[in-house]
Amino acid sequence: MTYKNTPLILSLAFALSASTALAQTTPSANMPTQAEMWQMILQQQAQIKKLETLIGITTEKVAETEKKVEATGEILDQVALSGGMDSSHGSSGATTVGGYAELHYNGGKKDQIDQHRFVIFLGHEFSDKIRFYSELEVEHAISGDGEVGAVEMEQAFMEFDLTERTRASVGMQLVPVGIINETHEPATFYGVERNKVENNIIPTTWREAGVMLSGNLNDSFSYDVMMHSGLDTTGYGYKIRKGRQQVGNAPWKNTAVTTRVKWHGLPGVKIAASFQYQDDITQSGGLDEKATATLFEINTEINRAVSENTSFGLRALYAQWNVQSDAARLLGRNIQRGWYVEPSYKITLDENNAIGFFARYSLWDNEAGDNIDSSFRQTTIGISYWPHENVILKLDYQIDNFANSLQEDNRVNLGLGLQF
Amino acid sequence: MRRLFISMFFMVLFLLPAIAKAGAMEESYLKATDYIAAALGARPDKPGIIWVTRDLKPQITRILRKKIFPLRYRYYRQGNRTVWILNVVGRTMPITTGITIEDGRIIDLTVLTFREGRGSEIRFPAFKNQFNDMALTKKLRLSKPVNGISGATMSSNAMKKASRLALYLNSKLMEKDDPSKEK
Repeated sequence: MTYKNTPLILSLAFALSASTALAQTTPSANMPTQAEMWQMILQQQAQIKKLETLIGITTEKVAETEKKVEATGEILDQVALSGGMDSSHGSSGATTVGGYAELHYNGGKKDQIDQHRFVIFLGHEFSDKIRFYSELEVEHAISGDGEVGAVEMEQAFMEFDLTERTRASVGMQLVPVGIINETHEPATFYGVERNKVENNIIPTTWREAGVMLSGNLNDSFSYDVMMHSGLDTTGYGYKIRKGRQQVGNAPWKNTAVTTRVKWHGLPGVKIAASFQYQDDITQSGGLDEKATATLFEINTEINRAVSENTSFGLRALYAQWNVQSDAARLLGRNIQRGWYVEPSYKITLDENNAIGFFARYSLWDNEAGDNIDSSFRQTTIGISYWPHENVILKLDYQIDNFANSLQEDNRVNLGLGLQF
Repeated sequence: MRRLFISMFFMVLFLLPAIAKAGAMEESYLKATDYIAAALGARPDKPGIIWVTRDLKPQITRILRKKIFPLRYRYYRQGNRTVWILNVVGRTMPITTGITIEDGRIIDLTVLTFREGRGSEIRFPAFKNQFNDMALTKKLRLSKPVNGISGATMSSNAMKKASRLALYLNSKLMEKDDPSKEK
């Protein structure tokens, strides 16, 4: 600090000596005496020291204020992160909430409006490598005895990262098969209703309790292997969809194994194949005889950009059950199969708005093991409009061509969907 | 079959911690500090900070489609090269991503931590290399179309948002160096 003042002191000294010299050459009665000048210098020196002290205090205060601003920013960032940016909540800020909902109107003979689904996700990250996921669903708005709807647990499982490329999950989870069994938020698929092939053959949404090991073989191939509780078609004549037990006090005498291999070497293109084996889909205790069953399913999902604002999509899937049982063979349900193909075209209008067009042809038959025609054919064409990437309005028209024409219901469907 | 299942169930449960520990030693996730060091060729120094002031907020809201986000973003810089470590939510969990930008173009995008149940394919070259040489248009859109991951649309969209945000923040940072570009 003393060095900083040296020029000033020198200037003053120079001025003093200059003025003294001037006073000596041109003496004047108004000029201060040498003693008075010395007093002035001392006073100015004192003033300089005082100013230096003030500057030091101000500098310290600025540094302290910077620290306080940094600390305040940290706290405000944490508040923002826990309150919105990452959808995270809870005491540790690691609990996440999400969900989706679908409202449908079905015209034709059905002529109904239905709050089809309302689903809440709840997740928690215990550490970077251990997480919990859950989904709680209300179907058809009302649940209870005699009501049309239900409250169901769709998923509740823990996931552990074993390595960068391998993870294990334990609990009630979705079986790795098909396109929409695992990803079925309304804004992610075309059509008001989920496609009938995956509903009736796979059967979507299909969850079981079990252990799954998932990983990446390399940058293009990934796999899933799941050992899980199985179907129980006892009393339902080997109808696959009816065999879902929803993991509620479910008979568990036989375990199923599902494996899947996926190729995703090209962005926007995925090809996946699943195989499942279950040594008895009647759980050996029911009215029906033991039935070993296998499911083979293969699908592709393509979504490639055509231009900056447009993209072409294609979904195609084939699935088949083989049930080894004489009783199932008598019903024609020893083979249950179906396939569909769904091309689409999406135009992104601006930052928020997009519109998409699709057509889907589906064929499924849960009694394909005999010579009697029992197939269902359905053609659906429609349009989807996204006013936001997570909100969708849907309109489609379905044309049924069923073996039993009395079941046909050509109709308009309207839907509103959202996810968050 | 059920006995086999139960045996495997408990075997997996008991072995998980050991497997996870061994895995972590052999193949741990890339840490942010290591990413920054690799991108800048040196251990990271003290980061720079961009405060989300009133003039930046509308554009960041538009990019992230959220009204609440951090008050400031940190960056690491060496000349015209900047590194951004960003968290953007996919389906429900934040995805931590490192993005390196040079002269207004992305030269690398790396997923550092992926927490979602599905969509981990965004980590692999087939997807992430699409962002190389990506710039930001005047409308704050990416200069090239990006093909998403089928079945992981929300994770793919999160990467688009993270890259747009990094490019936007980088442009604001460079504007400070070149006052003639400021409005």
